Amino acid sequence: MSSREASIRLQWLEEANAATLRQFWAETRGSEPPRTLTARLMRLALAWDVQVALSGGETAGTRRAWNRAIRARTYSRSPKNPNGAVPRMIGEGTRILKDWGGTTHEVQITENGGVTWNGQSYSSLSAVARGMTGTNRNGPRFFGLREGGKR
Amino acid sequence: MIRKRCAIYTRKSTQEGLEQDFNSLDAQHEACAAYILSQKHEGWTELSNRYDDGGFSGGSMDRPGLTQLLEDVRGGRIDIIVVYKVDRLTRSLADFAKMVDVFERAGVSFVSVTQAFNTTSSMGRLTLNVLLSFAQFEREVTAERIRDKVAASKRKGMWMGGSVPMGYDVVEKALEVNETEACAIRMIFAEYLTTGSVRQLSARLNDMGVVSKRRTDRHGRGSGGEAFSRGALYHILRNPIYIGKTRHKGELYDGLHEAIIDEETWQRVQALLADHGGKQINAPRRCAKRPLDGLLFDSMGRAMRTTYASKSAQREGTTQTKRYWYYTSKTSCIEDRNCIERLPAKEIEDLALSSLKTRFCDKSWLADQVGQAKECDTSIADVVRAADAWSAEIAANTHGIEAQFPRGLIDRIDAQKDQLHISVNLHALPGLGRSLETLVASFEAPFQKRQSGRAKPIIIVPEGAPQPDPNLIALVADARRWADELLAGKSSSIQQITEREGLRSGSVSRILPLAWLAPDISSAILEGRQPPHLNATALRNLLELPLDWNEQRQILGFPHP
Repeated sequence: MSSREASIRLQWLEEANAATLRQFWAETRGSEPPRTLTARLMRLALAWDVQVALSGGETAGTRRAWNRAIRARTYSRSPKNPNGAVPRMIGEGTRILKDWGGTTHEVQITENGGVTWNGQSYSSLSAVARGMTGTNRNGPRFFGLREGGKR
Repeated sequence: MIRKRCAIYTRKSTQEGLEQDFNSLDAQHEACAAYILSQKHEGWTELSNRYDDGGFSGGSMDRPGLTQLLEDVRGGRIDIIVVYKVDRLTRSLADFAKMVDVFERAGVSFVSVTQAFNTTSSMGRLTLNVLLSFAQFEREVTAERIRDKVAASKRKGMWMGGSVPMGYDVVEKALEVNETEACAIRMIFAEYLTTGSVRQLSARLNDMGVVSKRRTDRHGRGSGGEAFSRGALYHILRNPIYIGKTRHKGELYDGLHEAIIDEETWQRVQALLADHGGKQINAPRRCAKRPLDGLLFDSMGRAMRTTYASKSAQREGTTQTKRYWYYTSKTSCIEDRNCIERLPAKEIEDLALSSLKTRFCDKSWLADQVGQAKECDTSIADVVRAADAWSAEIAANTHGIEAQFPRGLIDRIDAQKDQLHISVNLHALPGLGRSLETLVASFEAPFQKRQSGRAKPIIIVPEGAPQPDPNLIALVADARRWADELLAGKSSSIQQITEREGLRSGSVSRILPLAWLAPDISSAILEGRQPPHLNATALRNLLELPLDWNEQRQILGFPHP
């Protein structure tokens, strides 16, 4: 789909009425839209589909990160923290100091989620954790970026 | 004149008539009070406390009023007990003897208003015993009569009271089918036949929202209306009342009430129950204790107990559970929890064993230990021989870890920061004729305690690094969650979500569009790369989110990708 085509579609969505939108939704998405959705919400969802087809949608990683954020928000609501916990995102250049086996290890995040430890580069925090402890474990959790389920 | 404090005790064995304004208890009380008044010249005064037992049999001592009375007698708050008749106090000769004992010790006398007797003379005590023998006889005859009546009624198939079984109501002391509950009962039997497991049946009923019968007891307390426990389900599945029978002492009789379950279903359920339930579990329970349990102490002197963690691992297509054993500090209060120490069990045991082995090879050390002990009749040679024998056995390693640590050999191990302080009782070595005295020798074994992984890592974020805004993320996360729920049909309407979340009307529909933010905008928010002015309030107050991602970027201040 070219960007011209896409903008024509968007324009059409903008002008279509609720009944047309419902019909279009059923044709393109293969299911009836929830009755509670207003025309505006249907427009947004359908416009999202159009633009995903044009320029790509979310990466699986981002979707997972959002699902984690949603879970953290639904399950960790405590009176102390009414907003719910949101996992910490770590960017390039972050250093993590972790005590393990009696020494302090320094781990650095490089670009694109890579990690260096002891002068070697690893593809993920989990890989570093495996190298450090000898067992498979959840890297972000081991390095304190995410709360564990049980405490 | 000495004041005599008089307590009045009244009792009635049945509930009947207790609801009347002036019941039998009041009548007894009044008679006693009048008697006390007549003895006013003797200094008798009535206590304000009343000791009444309505609906309690004289055959048992388990009566609230009597308990209170005896307590006050022991506490010396009473001088005379006044009863209407002796059998009010008890109908059991044995209990009466016990009570008289208590009264005598506290110096309390008792008086029966309508029966004149004097317990100070032997003749009076005989009269009293005869009286009580008859009281006990009367009670036993009554009990027999009632038992016979119940047995006869049960044989005729009458329902003789008790808690009303689910599926029935009681109308004029007879069971009448309650159609809605009977449906539930039929479903329970049918479901049990399909699932074949009471555990699954319980889960199924829970899912379907079938709950137990609501009952109100005589004190007006309600119970039931809850999920069935497995015990309750077994009880229902085995209750012959549902095939229209009554049960008395293991015998079944045709009942007068209507059956809910047909004979065939019943037989199949009984067969299934006999086949499935209530069998003994064959697997023996293994003791989860390691040899150093209770002997090992952490650096703060707290005893360490055995704990374990399990991890399942796939090996050659089968799932196996690997168990990791530890010794963990036993804490006395919650505050201690933060500084729990945990040591790997196998490593500590091996270390203790190997250091013990080296010590026992050191004959001069052994000789010193035995020599230092005063008043010790064990010879050095015996100890050395026993130690050698033990070391040889360990080297052969034919037995399990339990046998390696003979009972009582290790007296105590203190796990300090860099060493184990081990105390052993040399007399516990096998082969040394079990002396009762202990011969304690202690030594140190160096050890490096590994850091536990629980220490919180330190995270250093570079300067100027993007800061994720938790409020902003929470806002978009909510929108995405609600949109997912609506699209998946988990929530039926925006209204429903608004109510569930306890939000003001309109908030959900205002936030929902954020579920369709352009992917680069949403991932930037997640990573904290949003423009500085963009916060949750700004996003919430956005009037209308444009359909076009480019326009979204423009309006929110994001760069074009």
